Amino acid sequence: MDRTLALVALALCLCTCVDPTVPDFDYTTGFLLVDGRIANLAGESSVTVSRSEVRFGDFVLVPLREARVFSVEEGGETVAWSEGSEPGTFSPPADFTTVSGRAYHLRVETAEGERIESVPEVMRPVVPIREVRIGFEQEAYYSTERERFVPAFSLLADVEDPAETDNFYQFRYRTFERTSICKTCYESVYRQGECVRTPRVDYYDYLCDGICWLIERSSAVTIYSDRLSEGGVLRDVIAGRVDYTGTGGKLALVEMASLSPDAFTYLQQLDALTEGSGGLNAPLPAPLYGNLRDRSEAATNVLGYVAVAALDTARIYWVRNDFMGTPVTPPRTPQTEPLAPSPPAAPCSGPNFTSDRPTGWPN
Amino acid sequence: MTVRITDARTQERLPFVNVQLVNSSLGGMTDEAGEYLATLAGGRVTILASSVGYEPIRLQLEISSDRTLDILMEPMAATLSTVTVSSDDASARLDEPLMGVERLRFKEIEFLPVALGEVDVFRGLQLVSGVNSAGEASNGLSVRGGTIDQNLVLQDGAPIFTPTHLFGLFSVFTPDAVGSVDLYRANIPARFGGRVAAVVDVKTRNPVSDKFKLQGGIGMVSSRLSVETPLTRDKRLKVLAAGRVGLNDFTFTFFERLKNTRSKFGDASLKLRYSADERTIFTFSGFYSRDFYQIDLINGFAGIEANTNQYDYSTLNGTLDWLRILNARTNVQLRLVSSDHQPEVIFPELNRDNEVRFSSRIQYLSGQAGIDHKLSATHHLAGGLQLLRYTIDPGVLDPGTSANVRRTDLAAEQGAELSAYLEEEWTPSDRWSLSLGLRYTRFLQLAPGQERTYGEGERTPATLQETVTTDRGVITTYGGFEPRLGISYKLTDRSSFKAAYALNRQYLQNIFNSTTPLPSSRWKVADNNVLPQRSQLYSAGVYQLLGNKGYELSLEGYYRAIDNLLEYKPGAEFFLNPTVETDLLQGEGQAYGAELSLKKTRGALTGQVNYTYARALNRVDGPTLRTSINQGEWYAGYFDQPHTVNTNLTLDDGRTHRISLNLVVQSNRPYSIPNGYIRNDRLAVPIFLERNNARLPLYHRLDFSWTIHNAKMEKRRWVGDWTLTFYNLYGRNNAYNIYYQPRTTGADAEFFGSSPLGSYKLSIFGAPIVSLSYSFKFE
Repeated sequence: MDRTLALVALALCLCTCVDPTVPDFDYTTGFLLVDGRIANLAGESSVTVSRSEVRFGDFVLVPLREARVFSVEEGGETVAWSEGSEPGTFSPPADFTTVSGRAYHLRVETAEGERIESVPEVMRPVVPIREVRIGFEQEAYYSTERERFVPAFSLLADVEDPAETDNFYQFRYRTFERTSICKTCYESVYRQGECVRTPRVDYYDYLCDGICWLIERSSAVTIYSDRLSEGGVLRDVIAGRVDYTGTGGKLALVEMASLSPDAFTYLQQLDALTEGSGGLNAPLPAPLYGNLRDRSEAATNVLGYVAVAALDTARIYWVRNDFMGTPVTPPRTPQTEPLAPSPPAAPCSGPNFTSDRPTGWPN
Repeated sequence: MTVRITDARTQERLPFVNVQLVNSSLGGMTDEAGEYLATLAGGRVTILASSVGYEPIRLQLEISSDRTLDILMEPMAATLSTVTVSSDDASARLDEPLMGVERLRFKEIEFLPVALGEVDVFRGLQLVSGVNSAGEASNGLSVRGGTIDQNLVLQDGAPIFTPTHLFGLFSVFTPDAVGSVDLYRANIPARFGGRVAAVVDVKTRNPVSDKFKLQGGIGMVSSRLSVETPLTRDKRLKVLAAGRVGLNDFTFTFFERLKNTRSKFGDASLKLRYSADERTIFTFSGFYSRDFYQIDLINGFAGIEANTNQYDYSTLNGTLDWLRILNARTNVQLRLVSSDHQPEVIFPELNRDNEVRFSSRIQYLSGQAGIDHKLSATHHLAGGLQLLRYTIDPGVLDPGTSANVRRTDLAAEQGAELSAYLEEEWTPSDRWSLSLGLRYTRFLQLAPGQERTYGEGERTPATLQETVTTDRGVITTYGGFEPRLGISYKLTDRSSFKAAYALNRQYLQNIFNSTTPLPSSRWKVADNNVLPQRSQLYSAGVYQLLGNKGYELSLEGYYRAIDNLLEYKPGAEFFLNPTVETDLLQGEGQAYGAELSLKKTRGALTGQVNYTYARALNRVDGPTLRTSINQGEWYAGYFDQPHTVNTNLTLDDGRTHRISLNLVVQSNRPYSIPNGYIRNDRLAVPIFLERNNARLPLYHRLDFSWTIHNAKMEKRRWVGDWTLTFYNLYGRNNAYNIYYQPRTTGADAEFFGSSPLGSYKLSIFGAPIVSLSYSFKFE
């Protein structure tokens, strides 16, 4: 009897602990968001500049297209950055280089007269990744959204951590896998490069017009400080977690950024506000103060962080089916549009696709 | 012979009254029914009955056959040495100059409808006006808007640093050993100090039975057993041993979400009482509590691949008391107290046979001497000296065989408090009574320890200028007088007015940047950077007895101001932090409110209806963005819950059936909602520019319990009770917290719309909880 009651009680109380609810916001508008990094590797420096607004009741971050962005080397040159293909995203020229041991900061001038500067940070020496390995767990973590345990691969890095200094790292990754689907149109069909709304259609997949790789990027904050370690070669440092969602080969490009202590603290807070915000004992939500200030009279609130990052990268290729496990969802079969003689093909382009064989992908 | 003690004014029976038969080894305490049973050979005996708060009685009589002796005891106008304000002691309550004092007896707590049928001291206290918690899973109580660590929780004088089991669902006090619980939330007697909000003083039962007694129970979560018996033939040495264990965590494995969850807990209380002679009593009280639980990872750190956290924490307390009654007017007490709290967090490494362990420890030792002297019919004096010392090991990280983590050992902290107190209860006239108290405490931060000095501006690791390690002597000292005052003026025979003032300082703080502390949350002594908190509480109230059926009406108001209130910088992190003060802020706080209470204490139907209006506000106005909260303006404190209606009704037929109902309706706690979001790479991150800018949805809950006592109604040696409990009868899904996370899939679009953030409501008991438990007594 006791056991039955206990089961009933626990089933009732403990299985309905977390419920989605309509999010409440108390929107604050008018602040600027400047977020990005000045990096040692070519093509890896960028910053986004946007302003918060409420449009039709929705909070939006509006890219600032008219901004002028400069990186400033302490006692050295000032380099103008230019806006790329994505609105509000600025990058330095292709020949932009940095010097280890020198301090850099960013300056942003807006059309409204604001003059934003980041706190200078020193470019730290590059800390090499010696090797990356793959770990696998069928029940890696519990997902509230999926309401189940999720199988996932761990990217485990060996790092040659300098023993004599305190070091702070952030890991990010990009993964590549072959894909045959380059476009999915929901409640619409694909015509002349666009999804055209069409009644009585759920969705259709459109195949790529050639060989193509799907790119996925890490979204979680993965950081590591050697404050509690002796230094030397650190083994199996967690560099990322990749959900087991498909089969076949996968390539990961793991990037390790060596950061300042302040940048690390900022990322720690960011992690607490996102992945660490649930649970019985979650840290209290708190303001996220970065390293930027508006030096103009407008004194606009500026959020975000511009970090100076020394990057090293490593690659690893693995075949997912080689691990004893089951993907979180079965491999997807393309649902193509029944159109004679054949539905249109989609180009392998955009930020999430590439037709260039990624370095490290086996022949 | 049965000795039956009754309050001369209220005609209510008095439990816990000392009964001694002079020139014999016989003696003990009255039980909950106010009765004490003595077996005598007959002849002439002298009986001494005493209870602090009552005039002692000395009677001589001839015994020739079985008989019942009724003794009426007169309450003294007001007594500081005990808090005799009990729920069934209405007239004494009128006269008492102490305010804001509540006594719960185990009988009252035992029948409260509580979750999973566990008898729980803290749930009982939450019936009292102004007492709340962070929710069902809260590691302590909030008293009049204070934080959890602002309460001193004692069992037989020994502090309990983690007073709950099972994620905070139940308090640790061994149910069968609890005798009474006193909550001081206004005029805290001068003998107590060290916390700024309240004192919860739990006293275990004294072993008084001359016969072997066994009692216990089987519940859904735990089972319990207690034994009470004399140990020597002359019955001078008696023991009460009680224990409880909860080992039913196998039920978690039936649920996908909880299959990695484990929880085991146990607690035990031991009390030995030795009556050396008619005037000397030695008492030893021991308490042990242990918890082990495992949950999916909530506290991880880089370099260690682990999927679960294990918490293993224990408390081992001991109290040795010596009481010497010098004469009918004077007694002296000596007390030695030891407390040892050892929490540990374990990270079992994935795919490796290694555990990384983080452990900390608080050791507490204290010696106390007190004297109680009744100077005259109008003056009652008490005084004493207290010396206490605590040693805190803030954290040791043991990496085991892990090469990624090195052993880390934070510097220990040590403190001592030397206190002297004087209490005087003065009844200048029939109408006036005063309770005057003065406490002086000198706090010493003792060596070995560190003194860290920071440069101008914000304290950060970068502005740390100097760390001085001292090996001997005193590093920092604070102290001062703490006056306590209570006044009672009897307006009529049935009504009185009272006012009180109390000043308290707190030198030991629990620091945690979350809703409720974990057992492993860090404790910190005051030092040159973290100043002691100081509170001043002013309160006043009127009390009225209505009719002659035991109705009492009271209205109390209070205002409390706190200096050096502890707050946390954005993103404060205390885990193995060698400079915790860089993440701490200190500000000011104020709490005010009014508590209206209607009680019925006699008859088959008893109960109370309380309405509380209470506010708790904080302000932290530092020189920089990171050192001020909400732009330096006043903001709602974590337990700011303006409106609470609390109703408890009990129908007892006096024989077999007892039905109890609880209804709680209250404003829920404040929480923070985002002021928007930003994007870091592809991750949407909520931004919180203000703290506590919204309030969780209204909390309400109805509970019901039905106890069938001795169903066959036969007088037997074995008596069993069944208790059926419905907690949260109508299944209100009360929010414990609402949090925001970035969306990674398109799930729950009907709630989240196009927002890149999802919000989730976390609740503990979102449905009715039914439980059935069986308790027995064997004599």
